[in-house]
Amino acid sequence: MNSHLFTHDFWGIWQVVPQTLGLSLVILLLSVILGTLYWKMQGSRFRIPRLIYQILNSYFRGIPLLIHLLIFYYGIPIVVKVVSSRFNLGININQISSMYAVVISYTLYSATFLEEIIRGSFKSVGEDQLEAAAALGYTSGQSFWAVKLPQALSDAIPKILNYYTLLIRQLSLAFLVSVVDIFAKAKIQSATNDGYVEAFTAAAIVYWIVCIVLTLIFSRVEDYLRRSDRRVLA
Amino acid sequence: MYLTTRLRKNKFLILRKWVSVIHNFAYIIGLFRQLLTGVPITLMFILISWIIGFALSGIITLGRLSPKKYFSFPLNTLVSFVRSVPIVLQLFLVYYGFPVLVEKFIGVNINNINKMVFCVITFSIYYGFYLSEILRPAYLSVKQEQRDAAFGLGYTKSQANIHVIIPQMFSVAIPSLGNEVINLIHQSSILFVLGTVDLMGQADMIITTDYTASPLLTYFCAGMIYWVITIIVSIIIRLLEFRIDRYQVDDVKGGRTI
Amino acid sequence: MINISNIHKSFGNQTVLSGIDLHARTGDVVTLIGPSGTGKTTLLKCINLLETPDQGEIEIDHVKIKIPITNTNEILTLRRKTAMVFQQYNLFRNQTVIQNIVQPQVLVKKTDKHTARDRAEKFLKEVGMQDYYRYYPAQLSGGQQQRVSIARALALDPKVILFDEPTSALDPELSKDVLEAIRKVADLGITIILATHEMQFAEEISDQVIFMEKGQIVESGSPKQIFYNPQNDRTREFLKNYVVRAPRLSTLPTENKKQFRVV
Ligand SMILES: Nc1ncnc2c1ncn2[C@@H]1O[C@H](COP(=O)(O)OP(=O)(O)O)[C@@H](O)[C@H]1O
Ligand SMILES: [Mg+2]
Repeated sequence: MNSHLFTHDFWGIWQVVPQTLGLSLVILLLSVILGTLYWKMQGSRFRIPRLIYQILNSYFRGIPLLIHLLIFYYGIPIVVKVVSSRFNLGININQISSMYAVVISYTLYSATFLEEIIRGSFKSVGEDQLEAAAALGYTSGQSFWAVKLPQALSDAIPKILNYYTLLIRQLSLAFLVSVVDIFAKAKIQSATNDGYVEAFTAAAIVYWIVCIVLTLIFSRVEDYLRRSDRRVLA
Repeated sequence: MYLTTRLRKNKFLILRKWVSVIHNFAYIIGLFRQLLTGVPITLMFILISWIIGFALSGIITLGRLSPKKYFSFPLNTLVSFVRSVPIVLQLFLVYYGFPVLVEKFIGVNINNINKMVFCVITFSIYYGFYLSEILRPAYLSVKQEQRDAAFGLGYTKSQANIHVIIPQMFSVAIPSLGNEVINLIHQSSILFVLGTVDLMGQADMIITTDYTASPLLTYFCAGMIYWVITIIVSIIIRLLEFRIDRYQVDDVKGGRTI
Repeated sequence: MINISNIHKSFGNQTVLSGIDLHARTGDVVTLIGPSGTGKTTLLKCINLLETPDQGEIEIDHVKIKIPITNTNEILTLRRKTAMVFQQYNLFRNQTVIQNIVQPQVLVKKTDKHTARDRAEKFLKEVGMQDYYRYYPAQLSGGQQQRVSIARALALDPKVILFDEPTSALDPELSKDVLEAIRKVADLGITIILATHEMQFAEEISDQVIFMEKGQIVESGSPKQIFYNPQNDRTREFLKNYVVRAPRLSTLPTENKKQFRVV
C-alpha cells in the first residue's frame, strides 16, 4: 500500500463529505414527510388509501433499492419527455440531473421505513397517558399536541437519526447514476491513480469516522430526549 | 373507393397492432426466461452467505460476551467498522485488497479465482458482524431470573445455555433475523458490479449486450422477480416466527401479573 | 442436615451479610424474617452458591464447601442437593409446565424421560396443577406459576428447598394455595429454609425462626419465643407492624376492624 497515495485519497474524499451528508439529510426530511403521509394512509378509515399504502409498501420494500434507483434513472426522462411534448414545455431530457432519480427513489423507499418508525412511536405512547389527559379535561387536540406528539417524538427522533446514518451508507449506490458521494469519489480516485486498495481503505476510514462522530452526537440527543425515563437523576 | 382503402388500411393497422402486442409479449417472456437463469445463483449465494455469516455471528457474539477484554474489545471495534462502511465498499475492499494480502502473506496468487468467492467472503464477514448486533442484545435480554432458576436447579452452564437461554434468545431475535434475511436478498443485487451472473447480473448483461433492450423494462422485470422472492421468504419467516414464538402468545393478556 | 457458618458477603463496598450462622436438622422448617433489603435473598443465594460468599462455610448433607472454593465441581454437587423457589417464580418461559418439571430431572438427575414424566405428574397433582401441564408459564396466574415452581423443586428430590418470599408477588387470595403447597412440602419431611413476610404462616409452620436485620442475625429461636416473647427491641419493633394481619380480622375488637378495612 502506497502511503502517499493513501493520504492524498483520504483528504480528497473529505471534500465530498458535506454534500454526502447534505443529500442524505434532504432525503431524510422528504422521507419523514412522506412517511407521515403513509402513516395517515395506513391508519385511514377508508379502504382506498389503505390499499394504496399497502401496495406501495410491499412494492418498495419487496424490491432492492438499487433497482428502484435504476428504474427511476431510466424512467424519469421517459415520463418527462411524454409530458413535455404533450404540453410543449420543451424540456431537454438530456439536461435532467440524475440527482432527481436519487432523491425520488430514495425518498419513496425510505418513507416506508419511516412510516414504521412513526407508527411505532405513536403506538408507544401509553393509553394511560391519554386517559390521564382526558380525565384532566384536555380536548383531543390539546392531548395530541401536549401529550401524544411530544412523547412520540422523543421515541421517534433517535430512531430517525439512526436511519440517517443508514441513508449515508445507502447513498453509496448513487455512483451507479454518477452522483458523487464518498464511495463514488473513492472510485473515481482509484481509477485515476490506479490505487484501488488505497482509495477504498481511505473511504472506509472516512465512513467510519463520520459514523462514529454522528453516533456520538446522536446518543447525546437520545440521552436528552429520554431524560424522563432515567431512574436516577444525574 | 376512398372509403374501402381507408377501411383496408385500418384493418391492416389493427392487425399490425396485434402482431406487435404478441411480439412484445413473447419478448417479455424471453426476458424473464433469461433473468430467471440468474435466480438459482442468487438463491445459492444467499443461502451460503447466510449459513456462514450466521455461524460466524454465533462465534463473534460469544467472543463479545466474554468478560475478557482482549476478546471483546477487538471484536467490538470490528463490529463498529463493519456497521459503518457500506457493503459495496466492503465488497471492493475485499475484491482488491484480499488478493494483495494473500499474495503478501501466503505467496499465492488468487487473482483468477471465481468472483463469487469474494462476494461470499464479503457478505459472510459483513453478516457475521452485523448479526452479532442482533444476537448479543437478544442474549442479554434473557432475564437474570431465568439463569438463576437454571443454576439453582443444578444445571451446568452449557445446559442452561442450550435448554433455557438460547431458545429464549431466539424468540427475541427471530423477527430481526428475518428482516436481515430480506436485507441480504436485496443487498445481493449489488454483486453485479463485479460482473457476476446472478439475477441482477443477468439484467445488467442483457442491457450491455443488447443495445435495443430497454433498461427500464429489464430492471423492472428483475425487480418483479426480487419482489416475488421477498414475498415467499417473508411468508416462510412469518411461519417460523409463529412456531418459535408460541409461548409468548398470551403474554399480552397480562396473565403473568396476576 | 445443614450447617452454615460465618457467611460474609459484600457487593462492592456495601456489606450485605456479616457473619451469618444457621443450623437445621433434617426435616426442619427454618424461617427468615426481617425488613426488605436486609439480605434474606442474598443469604439464600449464598446457600446454593448462586452468589459466592466472600467468606464462610456451607455444609449440606455431608457435602462441605469452604470459601474460597478450590474445586468448582463441588458447587454443582452442592447445588444438586438443593432446589430453590423464587419470588418471581422463574419458570422457564420457553417451556410448558410439564417440560419445566421433566427437563431438570433429565438434565440434572439423569432420570429417564418416562419416569421423569410420571414423577412430574405426581408432583403436579400434589400442588393441584395437574390440569395445566400443557400451558406455558405466561398463560398462568402468578399463584399457579408458583405452585408449578414448587412441583419442579420437589421433582428433583432435594435435601433442602430454599423458598425466597414465595408469596410476596401474589394477591392474598392466591397466596393461600401456595402456602398450602409449602405445607405439603414440610409434611413430606423435606428441610425448608423460607424467607417470608407471612408471619402467621411462619408461626404455624416453623421449627426455628430467624430475625435478620442489616445482614446480621438479631435473634433466633422457636416461633413461640420470637413471636410471643421476643428478647430484642429491634425484633419487637419489627413485629409490631405484623402482629395483627388481615386473616385474624375476626378476632379483633370491632372498632379496630374498621381501621383495618381502610388500610
Ligand atoms: N447483585 C447485587 N449487586 C449489588 N447489590 C445487591 C445485589 N443483590 C442484592 N444487593 C443489595 O443487597 C442488599 C440485600 O438485598 P436482598 O438480599 O435482596 O435483601 P432482602 O431479600 O432481604 O430484601 C440490598 O441492599 C440490595 O440492594
Ligand atoms: Mg428478597
